[in-house]
Amino acid sequence: MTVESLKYQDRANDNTLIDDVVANNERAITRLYNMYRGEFIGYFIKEYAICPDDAADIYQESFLAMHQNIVNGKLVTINSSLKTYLFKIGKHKVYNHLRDAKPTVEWSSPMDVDTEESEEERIAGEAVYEEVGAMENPCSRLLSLFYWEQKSMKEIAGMMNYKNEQVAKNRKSLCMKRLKEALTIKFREIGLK
Amino acid sequence: MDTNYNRADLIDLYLLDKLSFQERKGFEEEMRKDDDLRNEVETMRHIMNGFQRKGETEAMNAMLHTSEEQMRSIIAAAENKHKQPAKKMPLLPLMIGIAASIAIILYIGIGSQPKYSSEELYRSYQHSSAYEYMPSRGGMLNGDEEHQLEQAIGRYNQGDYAGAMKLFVSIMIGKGAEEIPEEVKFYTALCMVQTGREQEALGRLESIASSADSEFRYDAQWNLALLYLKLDERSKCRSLLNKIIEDKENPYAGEAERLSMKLKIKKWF
Repeated sequence: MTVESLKYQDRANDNTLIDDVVANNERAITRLYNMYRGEFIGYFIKEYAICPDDAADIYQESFLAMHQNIVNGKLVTINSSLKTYLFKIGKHKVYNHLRDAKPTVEWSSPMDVDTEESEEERIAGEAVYEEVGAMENPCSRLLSLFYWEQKSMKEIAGMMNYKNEQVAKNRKSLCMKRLKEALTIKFREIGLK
Repeated sequence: MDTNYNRADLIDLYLLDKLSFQERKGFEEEMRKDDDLRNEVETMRHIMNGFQRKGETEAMNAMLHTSEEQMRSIIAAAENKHKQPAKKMPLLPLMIGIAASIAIILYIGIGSQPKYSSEELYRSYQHSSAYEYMPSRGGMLNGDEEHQLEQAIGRYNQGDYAGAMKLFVSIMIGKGAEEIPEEVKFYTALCMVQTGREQEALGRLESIASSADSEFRYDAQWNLALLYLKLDERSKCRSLLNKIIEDKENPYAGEAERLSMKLKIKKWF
């Protein structure tokens, strides 16, 4: 192999790696986008009596606004959830939309009310998040597919190359048992029930 | 509601908002009466929030490295999929109705002979489980032994039961009963079933199946029911299947219900 062909090989490998990263990023963003779309549109149609197309447009604008806030550093960490943040942006956008559509009507500006959780709930949530983050594969992947991506057992069996749905169900049961045992120990260590 | 759901399934369905309005009301009424159920639901809520937060964090990090142009392209692609026409659903309810009618006719069939022999049923159900290597708990095995365990499970899944058995036995050498990890005891019993040592397997599976602490007790109960079938002990098999079906936590409850139904079907002619 010549030096030139090795350099080409390196560039090809780097390009493959970059493509993989871009593809993974796209998948994660698409997942998030699809996760909250239905609920967002349904909520704003019901609460604000706007048409579905307008609600869908507002969702897209809200999602882009959230992206901008992440990139420019306005949103660095999630205190409650991205879903709550997205809905907050949505409320302001809907208010602007209604005000523009009917400028003679006095619309009350949306209030950002944060639901308060108790200190114990907050500590429990942090402890669970730590344990979830510390899980290894295959449990981490299996439970993420079920609880975050909301895939069915049949889909999970296919994605994780299990023989059938029952095998996937058994593995999930075992993974949950281990996670709950780890949480029991952690809660005891930090003095929670 | 599908009666094959166990308690864990119902909690999942409740928290994922997949129950009907009536089912939800019924479940919330149960929660009001049952402190344990309420606590379980709260724990699961925290766990689900944990996975939600993990997924959101991954998406946030992805967005940090994505330009506005790329974002618009991703959103456009996602919106396109939402505009695609829905696929037609098959005539599932009618098919289920026909299948149920046939099942009832077969169930009340003439004659005292069972439709399916123990051997037939054993052969059709014994391939339903394949196992996956997971690191053993409690630090009972060293690095080499973990590697042997992984190889042994791989051989078991490939059908090389004698080869798997040798590896499991080598892990057990020099260890007292309480030092042997549960998974090694369990898989050894399965290898014994496959290599003609059914009577030895019986005792081991019965022990794991009745142990409240073992994380393999549900797997052991199911495999023990299948072993009873292999040994043509149909009444013991039926009795154990009933216990599995009644246990709301048991993930094999659905399979057990189906096998139990087949055990009851008589020959029509």
